[in-house]
Amino acid sequence: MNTRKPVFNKDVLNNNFAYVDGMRTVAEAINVATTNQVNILIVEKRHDHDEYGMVLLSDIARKVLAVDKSPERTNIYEIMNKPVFSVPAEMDVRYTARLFERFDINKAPVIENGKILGFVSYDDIVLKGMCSQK
Amino acid sequence: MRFKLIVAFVDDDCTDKVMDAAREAGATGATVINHARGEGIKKRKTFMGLGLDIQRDVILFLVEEHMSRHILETISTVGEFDTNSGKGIAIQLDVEDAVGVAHQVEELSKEIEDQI
Repeated sequence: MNTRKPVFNKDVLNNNFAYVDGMRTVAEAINVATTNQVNILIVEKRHDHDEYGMVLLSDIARKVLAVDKSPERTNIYEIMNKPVFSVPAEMDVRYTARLFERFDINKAPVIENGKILGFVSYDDIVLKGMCSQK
Repeated sequence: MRFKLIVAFVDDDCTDKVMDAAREAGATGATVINHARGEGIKKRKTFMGLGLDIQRDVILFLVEEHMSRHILETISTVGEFDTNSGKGIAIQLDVEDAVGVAHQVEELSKEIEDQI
């Protein structure tokens, strides 16, 4: 009988992300990422019925650098992913892993009461969530 | 910020009306090219049977993408494009990039915040 104690997303999440406004330019956003030493940028909700957006550095590389757009004239809202795929804080990391596999993603914000608590990635799930219950 | 280019071909007597309405609808500027010649589905003829050139203006609007549909439809309504044959047409094109519009961008940012 396997009596594995569940490990939740909120137990393993990381806080390596920063907030950026959707109207900011890509150049300004790169500055925010550098200053905060993060590679995930979250676009804030503007009101209760809005949704979070997300910009990864890979988005900037693919949608700005690769197609030779000007970072000063491109806004974050043009390249963000919104709404962002998120996972509940109280979800067991086993299910998070299955969900990531099914939707072919490797990181997602952890949501509780409509607010972002942090981020969870494959690294967090494996390193903090698998062998902690020895 | 992404822009669209609206090109309107209108009778020169309603150029001002169309420009005012477009500004009202959110266009931040316009360029007019005068003395264009054009014809619609029916060639206009004088009563002598000679061809009659209609004086047209070409109006160029560089507009923010979220507002462009509303502006385009406003131009059509005000210019009576769909109700009267030969009054004019307008088209909307994607713009790759635009410079010299920094001041417009500042103004437009406030307007489109809720739409992104």
